[in-house]
Amino acid sequence: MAQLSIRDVRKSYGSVAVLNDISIEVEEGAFVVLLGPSGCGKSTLLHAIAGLHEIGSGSIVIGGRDVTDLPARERDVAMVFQSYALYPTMSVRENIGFPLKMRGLDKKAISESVDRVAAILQIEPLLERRPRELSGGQRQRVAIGRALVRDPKLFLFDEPLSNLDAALRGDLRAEIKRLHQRIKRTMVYVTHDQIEAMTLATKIVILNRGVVQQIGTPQEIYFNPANLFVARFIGSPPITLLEGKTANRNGELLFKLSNSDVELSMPQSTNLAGDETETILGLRPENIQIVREGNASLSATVDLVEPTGPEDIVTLNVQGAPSVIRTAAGMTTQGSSVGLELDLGKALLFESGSGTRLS
Amino acid sequence: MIKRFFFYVGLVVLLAAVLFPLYWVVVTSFKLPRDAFAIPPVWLFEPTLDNFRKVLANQTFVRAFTNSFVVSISSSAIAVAIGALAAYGITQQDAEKRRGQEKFILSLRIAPALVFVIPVYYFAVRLGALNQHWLLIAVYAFINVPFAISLLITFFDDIPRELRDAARVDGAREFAIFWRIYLPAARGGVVATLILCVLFTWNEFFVALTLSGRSTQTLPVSITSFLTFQGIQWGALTAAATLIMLPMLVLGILVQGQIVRGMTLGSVKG
Amino acid sequence: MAKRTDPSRFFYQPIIAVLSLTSLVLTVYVVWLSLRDLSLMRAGRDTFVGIDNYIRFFNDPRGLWALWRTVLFTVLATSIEVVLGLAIVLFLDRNFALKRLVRTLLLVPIIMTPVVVGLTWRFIFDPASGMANYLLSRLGFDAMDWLGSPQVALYSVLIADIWQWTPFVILLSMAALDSAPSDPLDAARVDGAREWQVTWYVLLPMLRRAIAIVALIRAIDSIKAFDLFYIMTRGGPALSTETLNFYGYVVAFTNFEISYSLTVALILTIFTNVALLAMYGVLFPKNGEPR
Repeated sequence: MAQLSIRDVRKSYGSVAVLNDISIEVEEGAFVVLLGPSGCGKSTLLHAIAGLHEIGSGSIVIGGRDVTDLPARERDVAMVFQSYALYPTMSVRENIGFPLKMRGLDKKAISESVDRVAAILQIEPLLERRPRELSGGQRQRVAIGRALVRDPKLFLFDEPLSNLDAALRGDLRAEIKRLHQRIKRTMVYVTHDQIEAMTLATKIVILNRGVVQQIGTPQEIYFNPANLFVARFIGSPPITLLEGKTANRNGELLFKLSNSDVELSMPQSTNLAGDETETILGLRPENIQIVREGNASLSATVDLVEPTGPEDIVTLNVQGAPSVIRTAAGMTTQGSSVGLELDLGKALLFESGSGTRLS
Repeated sequence: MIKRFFFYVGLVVLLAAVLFPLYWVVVTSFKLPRDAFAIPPVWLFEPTLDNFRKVLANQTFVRAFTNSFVVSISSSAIAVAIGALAAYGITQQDAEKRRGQEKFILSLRIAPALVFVIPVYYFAVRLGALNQHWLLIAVYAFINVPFAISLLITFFDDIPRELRDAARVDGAREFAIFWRIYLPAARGGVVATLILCVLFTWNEFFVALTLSGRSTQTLPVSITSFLTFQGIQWGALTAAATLIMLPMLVLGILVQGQIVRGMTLGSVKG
Repeated sequence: MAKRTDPSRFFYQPIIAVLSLTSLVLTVYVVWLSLRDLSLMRAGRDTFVGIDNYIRFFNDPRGLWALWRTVLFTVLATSIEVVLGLAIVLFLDRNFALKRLVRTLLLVPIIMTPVVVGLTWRFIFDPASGMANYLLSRLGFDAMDWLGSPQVALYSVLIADIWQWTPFVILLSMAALDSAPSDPLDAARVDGAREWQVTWYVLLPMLRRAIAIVALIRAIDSIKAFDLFYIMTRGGPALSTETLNFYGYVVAFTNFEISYSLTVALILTIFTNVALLAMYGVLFPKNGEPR
């Protein structure tokens, strides 16, 4: 049975719908990441799960119990906030013990639980300090500890790492992952950082403008995006998109690029919508190789070369469309002409207007 | 260099203008009558505590001190307690609801005291309450509540909203959030608000003049009794004035950072 | 749409309800009383007279003069305090040792008990032994009857008011100045502006909102000024310092004409609100309100 079910949830501020018919099932022990650009509704959804925001319609079920009309304190969830939300006047020990105190546990039980959690997170030396005496990473550990001290049905994380610097973010990310593998509890995690999403999630939910775009494993999301939005949003460097029309000439499937006379011959397996349809062809950077100009299916000019050490990030101009790929260091120079070999078997095709996936 | 010189000359003139009246009152309170009225003024004189002895021997004045103390502390405590509850509630509402409430509270502070003192006076006369402390305490609490609400709102606004969210998820009820999280986090602001209410009530004159009776007179009213028909007893008067304002100067300097905030708030958001 | 009620509402709704109810009842009661002829000096007579009290006010030269004095005092006090205060703020706008101490000292007039301020200035303005006349004589001028002359007394009170409240303008504007970014000033300097141009075109516009607020506060408080008048002049000599607020006080607590005094009080309230709205309109134009 699912640990968390979100069913047809809607919410709007005035006439603006921030959550539009959201339905998500989360099985026990999953690590679900809600991913999307800012303003997509992911935080609102998380707050609705926590019971901090009311929803317009629909229902939320946690551990088999409909909690839609319950206040946050009765939902048995724990939450870690972006700003840590530590209680400034309490010591670390009091902060972590607060949820238990609110549930009326006695002092001894609270103290034991706090010590147990502090040991897990290795923050024992900090227990008597105040939040303002801690560094950002330590604060976030305490915030996680406060969630951990109870045994809630659901852990919620609201962009917990976005206030930390890059190095610390990597460390804590790994720590959260280990934590999940160790305690095997259901977690819902909001972020706008796709690396966090890919590395942590067992399941990613992509949201845009209050609508679920796709739900899937990180692999599915990357290799098999449901639509143009997901394809564009995931991947760094971003996917290369070429506009054109499909054609079927004597049984040969062709993709004719707009603004040029280049025709690409597509593999037979490709499932094309039909003749002469406006289509967008997407290719991941790793499916585009620079080759000698002579035996290339396509030529391009090099707009920009950004060395990163072992490899260069190269921005190409492919018949007017931008394309960013990775190459071995020093392979090209700015302004030069290169040939491209495309792995069209991996190409993703989208309907031009709606952005719906074709193949 | 010359610019610098003129700057410091200007600064000295400014400070002299600001501080001279205070200096003159305090100094006069230590003077004997012959020094107090000497023209040209005497800058060096033999100090005396006679004026203070005289004031402190005056039963009416000593009682006024007690009255001022009792009235300002209790009315301020009531106002801050009520104000803290209301301010907490208002800060948790969405922007639109808040603006309405804040505007209403501000509007309570614009009407002249006269318009509400007269009917209260009329009632008090009929009830025979003019000589009772609770009347002054109630009236000052009523006046201080809107002030306390709007000032405390600014302090509660400094507390991140996520703290309330976190506490709700952690299982705290609304009153526990207010009592265990918000009040401790805004402790400095609450104390400052209390002090500002005390300061205002202690200094207030108009309400005290119209609504106090013989046995509830506060200090600002009591001091006017030194303005007699026979003339003004400047010695005793300046000593009394020094005693009245000294505690407030100390309190005021304690919360100096909050005073400007306290005096502008409300209007700032209007 | 809301299914769950947010319990935080119960923290303020009862209090706001009591405040609203009290002010509503008071307002209705006051308006009702102002339409009667209740006076504590004539026991038993209390009849409905309609708007007679209002008609009486507009035919009452003493009241109209008091209104005019209120306008004069408010305009003078507000404008002088704001201009003088700003000038001092610009003068002090540099780094110097003891700046914090200067700020603390500027607080003194503001928190000094107003009654004591009145007494102090009355002492200074004493015709025979006051410091004011001593200063005049040292400078070679004739002595003045600061509080005893009908032509001068209002301005003497004004001086005391300016002394007490200009520091308030200074402290508030200083606070605004501190929170204003300094980059635009440096940018203007780099762009070739002279110091006065930086002040006039960049600094003052940034302080606009703070100045507007402080002017508004000072105007409202000046309209209601009472303590200094009561202590320094009691409206005299020859009613030359009687403002509308003071007149209302006299009608209520010397003549005990409850109804008429409330009429005066209501006219004062309306006047305050009109002044407030007018100033608000000028200081905060709808489009492009400066932040």
